[in-house]
Amino acid sequence: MSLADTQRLIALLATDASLRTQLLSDPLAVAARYGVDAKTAQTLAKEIAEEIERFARSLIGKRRNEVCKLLPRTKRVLGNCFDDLFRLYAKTTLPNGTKKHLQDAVQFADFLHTKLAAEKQIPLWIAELARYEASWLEVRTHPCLLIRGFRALTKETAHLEANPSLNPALRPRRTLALWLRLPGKERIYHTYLTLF
Amino acid sequence: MNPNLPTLGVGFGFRAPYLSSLFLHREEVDFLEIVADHYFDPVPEKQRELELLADHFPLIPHGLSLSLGSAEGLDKNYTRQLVSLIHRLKPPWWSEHLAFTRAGGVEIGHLTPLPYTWEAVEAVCKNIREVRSQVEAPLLLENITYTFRLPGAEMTESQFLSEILEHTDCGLLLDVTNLYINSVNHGFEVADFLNAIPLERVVQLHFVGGEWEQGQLIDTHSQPTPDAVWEVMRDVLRRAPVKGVILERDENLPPFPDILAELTRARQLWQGVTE
Repeated sequence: MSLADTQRLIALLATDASLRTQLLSDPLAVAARYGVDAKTAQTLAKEIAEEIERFARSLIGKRRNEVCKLLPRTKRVLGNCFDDLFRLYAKTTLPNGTKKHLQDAVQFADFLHTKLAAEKQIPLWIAELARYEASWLEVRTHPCLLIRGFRALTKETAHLEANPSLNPALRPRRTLALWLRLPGKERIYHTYLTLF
Repeated sequence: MNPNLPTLGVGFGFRAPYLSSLFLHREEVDFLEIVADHYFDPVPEKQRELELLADHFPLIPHGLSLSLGSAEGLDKNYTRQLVSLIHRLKPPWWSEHLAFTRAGGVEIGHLTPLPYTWEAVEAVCKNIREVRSQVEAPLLLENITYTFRLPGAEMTESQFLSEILEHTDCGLLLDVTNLYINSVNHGFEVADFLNAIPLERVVQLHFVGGEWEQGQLIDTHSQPTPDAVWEVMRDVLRRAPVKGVILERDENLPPFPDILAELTRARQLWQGVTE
């Protein structure tokens, strides 16, 4: 088995939970699918599958740690649920490039909003808080004019860090938020308008 | 390997939350290591941060994702950005890991161990030749931690590392924590490893503390340096022509005085073995 084939298979195993499961249950099928000799696939399954699983978990843990730093308010309101929800999200996505952690944070916020809040697995205001936090990251990375509408974002939600005792779920508001950052400039102009 | 590299002293891997504390304790930090990837295509505040740091400290760029071990070669876009940063900073050396992070169009996002084979030695040497044709500053290779070893090894890790260092004439960034962690998790003696590698090529050290997780010691960069790692560092400082020592804390960031205390201990250790 060539180095290129070995590396391709390891990269896929490290990032694809279903392939790791298949390697354990049917190494010969994995061998056939990826052009690997049967002996190598069986050796991987027998000798290092557990270690690759551990490696994959640490990879997701590293992504989670970085996203926690980028979405601190979301982390705080989700508490212990953050880790479980992030693992759920991380199974389906793999960010890339030198801004991959930013990309991960923005995509996680989108996942909370479009999937979990839409399916009522988490309150809408939490998903919108994540989307609000991620909007700052987007504008910091790419200068632009960004206008977003929120159905449950309140002044209290947006400033949750300063008012940790407030429960924003009690006072949902429709809000329009605007960010503007000009190319080459550091300053971000931000305002929001609570409609009703 | 250029034997006339400057001695930089003791520093830490720069992390943005420490920016203001760093300047309050400017005299207690000799140099900084920066994660090169954080300054690729920087937003204005990161660019300003880089310029500020470069004005006050020697900076060593440390790459995370060049993927020197990739059989498919280097990523041109990543390489271009890294080379551009190194040209801007003009550091005395720069560093990358002996690992692969990308294969078959998949970016793993983590340092992944190479098989200890001659084919892998050749792939690494080819990639190093390519990047060094674009960068004059010396390259240091760093040993990584690994939770698994790929089957089909034709040599030991220390032989693999030595072959690459000798073939490429690179320096070694010896992460003494990684070495200690691997020795614990994979059951070998640190002394045997050190006896088998060209210690004269060690230019820089990394140190920090990890955590136990499900029976394995993990390189989390989240804890104070344990005594066992200090002992490894003492031995290496005694035997190798080290030019710089970097504390590499990334998670569970402590108050800055705790960072300074570790730097002071490293400095005292170094002075103690060279007196």
